Amino acid sequence: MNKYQNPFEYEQATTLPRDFVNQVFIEDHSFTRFIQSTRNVFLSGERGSGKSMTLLYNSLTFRESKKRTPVEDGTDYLGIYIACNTALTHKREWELFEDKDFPQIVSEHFMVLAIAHAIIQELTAVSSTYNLEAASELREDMEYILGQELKAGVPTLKALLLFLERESYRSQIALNALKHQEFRTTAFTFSSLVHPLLLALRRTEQLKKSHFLLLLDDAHDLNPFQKRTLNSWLAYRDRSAFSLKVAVADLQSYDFRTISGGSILEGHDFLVVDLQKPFQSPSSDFGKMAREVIERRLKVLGLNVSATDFFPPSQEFEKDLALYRESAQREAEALYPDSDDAKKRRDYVYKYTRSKYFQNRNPKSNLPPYAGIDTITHLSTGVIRNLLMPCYWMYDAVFSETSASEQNGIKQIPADIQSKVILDRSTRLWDWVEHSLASAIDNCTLEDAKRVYRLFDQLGVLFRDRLMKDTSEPRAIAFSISGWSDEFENLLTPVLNIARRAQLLYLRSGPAKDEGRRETYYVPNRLLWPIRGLDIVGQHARVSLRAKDLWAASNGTPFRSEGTSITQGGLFNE
Amino acid sequence: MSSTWAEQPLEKALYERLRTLPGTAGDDLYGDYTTARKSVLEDIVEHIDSAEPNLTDHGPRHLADVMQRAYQLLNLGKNDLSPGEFYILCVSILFHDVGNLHGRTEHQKKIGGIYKHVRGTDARFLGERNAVLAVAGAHTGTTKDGKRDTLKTLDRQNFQGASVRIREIAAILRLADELAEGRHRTSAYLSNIGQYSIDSTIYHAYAQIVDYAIQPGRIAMTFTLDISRVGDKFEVHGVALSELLKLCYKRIIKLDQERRFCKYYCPFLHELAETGAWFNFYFEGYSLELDLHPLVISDLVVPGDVTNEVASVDADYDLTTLVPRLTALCSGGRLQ
Repeated sequence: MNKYQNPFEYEQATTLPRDFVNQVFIEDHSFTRFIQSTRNVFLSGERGSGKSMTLLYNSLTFRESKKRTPVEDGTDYLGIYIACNTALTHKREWELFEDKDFPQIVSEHFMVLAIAHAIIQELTAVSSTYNLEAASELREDMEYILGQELKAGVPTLKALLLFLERESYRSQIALNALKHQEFRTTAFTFSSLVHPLLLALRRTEQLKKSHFLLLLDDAHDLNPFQKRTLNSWLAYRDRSAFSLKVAVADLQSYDFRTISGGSILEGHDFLVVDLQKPFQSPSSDFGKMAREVIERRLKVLGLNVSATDFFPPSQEFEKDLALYRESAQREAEALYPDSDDAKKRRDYVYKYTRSKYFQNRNPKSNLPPYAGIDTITHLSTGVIRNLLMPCYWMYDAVFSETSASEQNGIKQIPADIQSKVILDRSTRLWDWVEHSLASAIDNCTLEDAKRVYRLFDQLGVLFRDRLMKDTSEPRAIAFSISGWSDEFENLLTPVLNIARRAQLLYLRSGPAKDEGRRETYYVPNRLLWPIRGLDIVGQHARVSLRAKDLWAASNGTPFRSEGTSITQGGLFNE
Repeated sequence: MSSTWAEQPLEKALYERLRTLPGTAGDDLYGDYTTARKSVLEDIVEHIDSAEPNLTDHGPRHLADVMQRAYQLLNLGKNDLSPGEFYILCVSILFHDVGNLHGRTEHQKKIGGIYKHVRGTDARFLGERNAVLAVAGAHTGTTKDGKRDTLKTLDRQNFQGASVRIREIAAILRLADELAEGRHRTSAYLSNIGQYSIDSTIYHAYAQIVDYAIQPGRIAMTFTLDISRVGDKFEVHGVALSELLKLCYKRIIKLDQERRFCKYYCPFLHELAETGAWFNFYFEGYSLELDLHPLVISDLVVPGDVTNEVASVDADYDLTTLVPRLTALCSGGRLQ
């Protein structure tokens, strides 16, 4: 039996082997140029969009294990990966104190201990490369700054790690014993621990040109005081020694206030890199990246095959589609015969070819086949983990049906297996929403879960209804919300937030009807739609739904088609 | 209309401050204030648009915005304005633009007649009149002898038996007015269908793309430019890209000068140590990648520095290179 290795592993990046991450990470498309700069950056994207992998790939330890070229491996940018969902940053003692300053002090203290620990750990992993133990002045400087001797007889970096661990222990004991004054006078801040540490490192000959990239992952998990502290560091102007690259799941709800009562501003204090790609067409950046992700992973198995060849479309579907394209073309020529109307004809063919296919299928026939790399890309709704998940199970299905002698030679996932897996995953997702949502999502009651299920159920009915009729934009599977009022905002927002946390719903921003303004719109996870027989490719439009109708739908009332309108997006909008 | 006027936080703060006065003095003064507000809103401000249709908005929204900006400025540091000073500031805001009813030119010098129309000849308003005319008259323009330093000659005046710091109040109004430019100061609809004269189109375009933030330590200007292609030219809200950028640069330098000028005369504003600017460029809804750093013009002056031009602060903003880079991106370069 061959050793099973599924190239489409989609677990959290932090659980994947370094070599694997280094092999499969797509550098060009992941804004490495922004990461390796002195600018502060917020990486924004839902779970599975590649935040952790981007940060890990740029961390020192991952760089070290890749043995990159001397140009890549210069000491100019040293990435320090700092997970914000650790025990140190998650400590909740701050909630116990009524003194308004003390929670701030406690929160910052444990956060800077975690950061300093991460810096030393990363440097320890590469100390031989940089010959840091030869830097005797580092020990002297740190002993002077900290006012304490580091443990003798052990290397400097290890001595620093031991010091930080002892401080963590000591401060916890002080807190437990309610020795607040002792804690207050010895607590660390960024400027009393992390900044001097970075400056001391930069005084060494080996790191004198280095810029430290503090790569904070899952910063949405920080407590409110830590977020304000972090924001204050982001407002820090001198970025010669360090910059911050902060990954958060939901930038829209992130609190940008600083400790001093000001706030940090996009552009002025930080850049935003949105890892969620709203466009999934083959020509879009995400479409190209999706192909590269697949092909890079196939290379891990030694397969030099294109994503299109590995995930071929259904021949039967392609043949039928070609017929409807011809039919739509004939209709377009009859409707828009003028030579100046070429764009109108193209738009007509684009809008109606696929909808005709879905409308004219025999009602008694099975669900349409869902296969091909384009279909899988659209199915991802712009999230890399969603792209990899069906691929993983498709590969698994073929592997388990292949004899042991041929398992190394899997060159293709047949279209029927792709379709079968997609429909199976779509069914499972609905089952999960209906039966497991309340137990899987924090603060989701059984009633909330029912509302989420009913809302998506009714959206499915609405989209199906529109697809089967000659509406103006029949394949629209995204929506915007109109008619917000305080009442419906209070009622509907919790339902939408649960759906977002469950990754059933994604927020996107696109041009509004009014020139120059952008509006938020909502894209349901497209994996919901295959089992409902919808066209997951969607189209460049979104249905405008009233907040009160969405709320009613979440309570089981169907949408009325006449109560909806369409926002026509531009060429590149959904 | 005053019936739709929503009481501003600055006015609420004024009321609270006036209530610290003994007896009914505070309520009386607040009554005087609301009387003036009603008259200014209903009789004067709403007619400015018909008198000067090419002006960016000087209506009630502008008054509200100046009040919001003044409130933010006062909140930057320890606000120790006396009740009388707070009152003079608020009344001065009401009157600062009323001169536009008789045309924009030298409008700050036409306030007196309108003040008289609103307050009449009641002698109890003499102190208020002197203070308000001094403060509102210094918010723009030049002094009688043609100097641009309109704050220098202002001095303390008496109001309600107490001395008020006219110069500081005028500095706050002047900077708040400078900061009250933004999308609300123009009508996007009228601009889009070209119902403004060509001369003022660029100012309306500017008003649509700029946003100001007053924060501890700085004033941050954020420009959002949605570039569109018209033939082989690139425009923003009907104005050539390069022309609009030139105006943005002029306004950045102008605001920085106003910041330095006003803080020189007003201790409340000492917190404002720098002017920042950031440009968001879009083409067909896509953000354009330029690797620009935000502009920061701080109080730090290194001997030999020249900071009277944006390009001397950061050479990446030199229009001779920036505009070609932008148009190249719009013509098929890499888009983010």
